[in-house]
Amino acid sequence: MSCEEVNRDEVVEQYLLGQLGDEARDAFEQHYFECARCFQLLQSYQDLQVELARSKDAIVSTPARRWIRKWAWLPAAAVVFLALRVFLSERPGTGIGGSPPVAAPAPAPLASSASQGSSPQPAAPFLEDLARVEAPRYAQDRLRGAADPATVRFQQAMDRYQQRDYAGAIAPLREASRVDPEAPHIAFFLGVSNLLAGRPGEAADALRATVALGESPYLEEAHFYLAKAYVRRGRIDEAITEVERTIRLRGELEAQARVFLGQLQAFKAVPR
Amino acid sequence: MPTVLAAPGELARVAERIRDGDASAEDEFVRQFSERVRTFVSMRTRDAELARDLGQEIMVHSLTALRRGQVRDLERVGAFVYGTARNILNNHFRTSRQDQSEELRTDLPAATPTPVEQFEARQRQTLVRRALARLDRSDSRILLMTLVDGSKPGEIAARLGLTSEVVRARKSRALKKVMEHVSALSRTAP
Repeated sequence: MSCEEVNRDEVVEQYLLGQLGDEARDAFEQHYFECARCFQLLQSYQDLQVELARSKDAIVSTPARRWIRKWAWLPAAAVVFLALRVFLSERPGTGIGGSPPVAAPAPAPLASSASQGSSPQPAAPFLEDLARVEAPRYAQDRLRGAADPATVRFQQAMDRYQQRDYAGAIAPLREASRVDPEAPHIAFFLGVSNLLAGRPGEAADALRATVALGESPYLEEAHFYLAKAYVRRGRIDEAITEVERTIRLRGELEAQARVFLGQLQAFKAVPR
Repeated sequence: MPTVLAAPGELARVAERIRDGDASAEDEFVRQFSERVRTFVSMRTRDAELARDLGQEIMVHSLTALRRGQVRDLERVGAFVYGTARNILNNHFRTSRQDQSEELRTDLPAATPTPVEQFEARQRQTLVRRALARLDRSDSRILLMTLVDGSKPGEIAARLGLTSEVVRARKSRALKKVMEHVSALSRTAP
């Protein structure tokens, strides 16, 4: 059994619950006798199980405040909408409720609006805002335990990533991905590093690969950052699709994705 | 400082030192394996007391074999200890309470949790508690139903009015968040 199998197949969880078959159980036990990383993971799961059982009453009796989270995006969306309204009302022929444009402007470039003629071109910086990306946080494992070749390369890459050397992280991530193409964390950070290094095409490939791997802790973020990659390439419809997929997962990025969706739709609605 | 678990290469060197008669290496060996052995036995038997008793026996047998140079592949000393643990546990199930006290030595490091291990366990529990407190309550509930009740995503989805896909995604994210938080905090903890 490998570390990747342990993570991918939810082995620790099944082991704790006594749901593994004899063969898989024996394989995992032998693995954690030899692998410091997976044994530490097992300990953390055991601690979590104990803590959940201890606080069961508190967890069950406290109502989930989903409605707060569900509508948390609303104030931000309202601000964006108002700003957009003011912004567009100052733009000849494109204001909300204003007169229709005489001719549609050329598609807005991502990087510069300097070549767009003498009329105001606020759409370009707006698209730049949409394409802006913040690096997702990476919490490095503290363990010194045995690591497989893909993990060794991944850790080398993430050392660079944490120093914001995103371009430098790409090569070791590619190597890690070649060794273990089914590791979602490797595919995801390969995509994100490419995106942060200004390579949206390669970013989209890696993030699509992350999504194609199915359920993982990186699925929601992969959809979200894939949308960003599409925005950078000017593919707004595909970006909207990815943001909608992010929202459907109803995770931590839901509020942010709803605001982003509103922005993308507003951007798309502006004739150019 | 939490116990740092060693890589196989380092464990092999510890095993070599035991074979060569270095008594201090035995403490390191026990520190590396006693928790794994106790975890293994308690997972198989769900009996913490038995885990301590058999854990002691497993450590003694493993150390004795290492001292006598009976372990051929020192690079896989972890696999050797696991094999020993399985054999002793199977023997225990077969013979049930056979008195093996003559084979036990009392001057070896205990397989019961040391004060340091107990402190580390409390520290880990505190970190997990803090991480759990930061989760959305509904995510905590999904984890509770998964890791304590043993419910499947479909069952949880039906109870919470969500889809299975959403439950799987949220469970996965919540676990990731807890593990990352514990990892981050344990690096900064005094």
